[in-house]
Amino acid sequence: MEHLQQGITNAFARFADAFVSVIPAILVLLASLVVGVLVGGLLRALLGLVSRLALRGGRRPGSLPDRFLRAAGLEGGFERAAGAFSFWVGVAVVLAVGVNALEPGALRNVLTDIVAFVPRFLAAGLIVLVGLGVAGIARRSVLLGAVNAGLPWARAGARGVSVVILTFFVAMGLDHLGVARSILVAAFSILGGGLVLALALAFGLGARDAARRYIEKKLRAEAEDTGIRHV
Amino acid sequence: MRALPALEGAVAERLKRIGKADVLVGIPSFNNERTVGHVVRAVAAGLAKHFPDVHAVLVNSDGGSTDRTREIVERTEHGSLEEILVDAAPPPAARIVTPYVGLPGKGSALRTIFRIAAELDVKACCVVDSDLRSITPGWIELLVSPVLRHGYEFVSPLYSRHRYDGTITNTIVYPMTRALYGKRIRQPIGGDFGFSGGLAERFLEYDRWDGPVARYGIDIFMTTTALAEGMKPCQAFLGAKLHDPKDPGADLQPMMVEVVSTLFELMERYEESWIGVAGSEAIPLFGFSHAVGLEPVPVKVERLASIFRQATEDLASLWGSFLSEQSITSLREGAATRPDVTLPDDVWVRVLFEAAAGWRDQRLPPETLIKALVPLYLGKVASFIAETRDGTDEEAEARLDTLAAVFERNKDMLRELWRAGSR
Repeated sequence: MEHLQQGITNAFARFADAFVSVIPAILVLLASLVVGVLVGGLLRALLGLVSRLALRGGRRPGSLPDRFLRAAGLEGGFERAAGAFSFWVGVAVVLAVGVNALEPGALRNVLTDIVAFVPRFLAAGLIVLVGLGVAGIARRSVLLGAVNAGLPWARAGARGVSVVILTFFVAMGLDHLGVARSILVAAFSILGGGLVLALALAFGLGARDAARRYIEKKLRAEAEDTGIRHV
Repeated sequence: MRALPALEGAVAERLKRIGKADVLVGIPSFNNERTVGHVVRAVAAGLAKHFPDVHAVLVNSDGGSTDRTREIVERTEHGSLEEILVDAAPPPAARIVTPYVGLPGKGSALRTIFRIAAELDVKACCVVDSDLRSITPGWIELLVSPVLRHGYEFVSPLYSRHRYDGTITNTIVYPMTRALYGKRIRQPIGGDFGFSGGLAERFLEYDRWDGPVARYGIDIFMTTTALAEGMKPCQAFLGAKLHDPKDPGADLQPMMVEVVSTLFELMERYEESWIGVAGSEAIPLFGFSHAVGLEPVPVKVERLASIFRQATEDLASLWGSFLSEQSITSLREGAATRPDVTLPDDVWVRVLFEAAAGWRDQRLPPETLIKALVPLYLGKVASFIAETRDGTDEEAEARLDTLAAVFERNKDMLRELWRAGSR
């Protein structure tokens, strides 16, 4: 009975020692986080100031990335996206410095691995952001083109195109993070191959006459366009 | 410093030999072998009959035609002058056939013509389309004489058109231009214009020839520049314009994007010129007005209405980027009416004014914004047809005058929207 009591006491004592030993590390991490947030916020504020100074007295210049993000439906545009990105880069860099300052040990190893993952995570986020942009632009283009052409499936078609593109970019992001790489490749191969085969069968075999009429009409339209086109 | 379009060595050499000229007639072309011969014959006869003592030059600015267009322009003569009551044939006008540089389109073609006009220091110019079937020698007199002999600087065409031909003009360009610049130019994008050599030089000062002005935007660019820069304008009645009319439901998107982009862009450029203008005034008209038998334009009204109705369901969130909630609600109400859609004038005016302000504030990419306007324009056309299908041509024209008056009356709204964006 005494052995058991001694054992429990020793275990609690070791736990308390271990807990006390990580408190400085946690404090360092918390301090790093606070400094990181401050640095990130400063970076974002600086970027905003530079941008406002650059645009003083004039309207938004509509730079290419800005137009891209707005076209993607991200209302804040480039200024806001760049601000958010610089903020998180600031936080990540300061956290990495903080982790490096820790005593060597298991905790440091784990945190180093986590912090080392952050740049990859940011890059994957950037890939998904680009995907959102491309998907948004494609959705708008398909929607406008289809509505203006009077096609009844405009909204569904636009959503479908957007989902396909976004799925592709999310898969790229996951691949960049190294998540389920082999499953992703297999899934995309099956999906892509299946789609091409289905379209080929549907258009070339199932709708052979429609395909012929479509191609003939297309060729005729091109010939007519050349004939009547004028400046 | 302005950048001038390049000229071929042989053309520059030819211009040196010609030296100066009084009148220049420009014909932009691209694969127009079927019609360009008639146009050249009419121009040559017009110059011989109406300007026999004037040193004239005919310039064809071609976009790389792969048919016989250029050959036809070089070889076509004016034909029998006796038939048009000319006794003594004057020396033929010098003829220059040249390719143009820049984006393919009418604007780039005309830019080269402006350059040649400036090089030759001409007093008066006119440009006519190469797909015309109804041009006569009298057109040249009507487009050139007001400039050469009456002190005007810009001559806009006035055609007899079927009430459903030129719907972008009728519902957008005419009423907007009239409300903005205060002059009643009925066909601001007619395509055939007369102008002074000085105005040709002003056109060359423009610095964005890599945009819509290089294409379909050129016509509204010429008209707006003339009005905004205070040139003395007039109109010339040319009768019917027979060419290939476009069904408003078919392939109008690129044209509308280029025309409306240019209209909005020039609003920004010439804000000082239009912001203080109130009301509008008629401008002098040359030519003898007469009734003309017109080719009907087969418009598929049900298709226009169907696109408008579908858009109120599918595009409402996109419209929300630049239209007010009030406008979107009114559009939905108009789309719900049966059997025809209705788009009242005051709603249409507010939509266009909000779109102009939204374009200026870049609420959407420019092309996207204007493409989002296409179904609304189709709805307005459908609504106009529903109102006028049983009336006379005069009643339809009066209806368009009423629409233009609503634009003028609501100009304060445009000023407010425009200024709110610039704050």
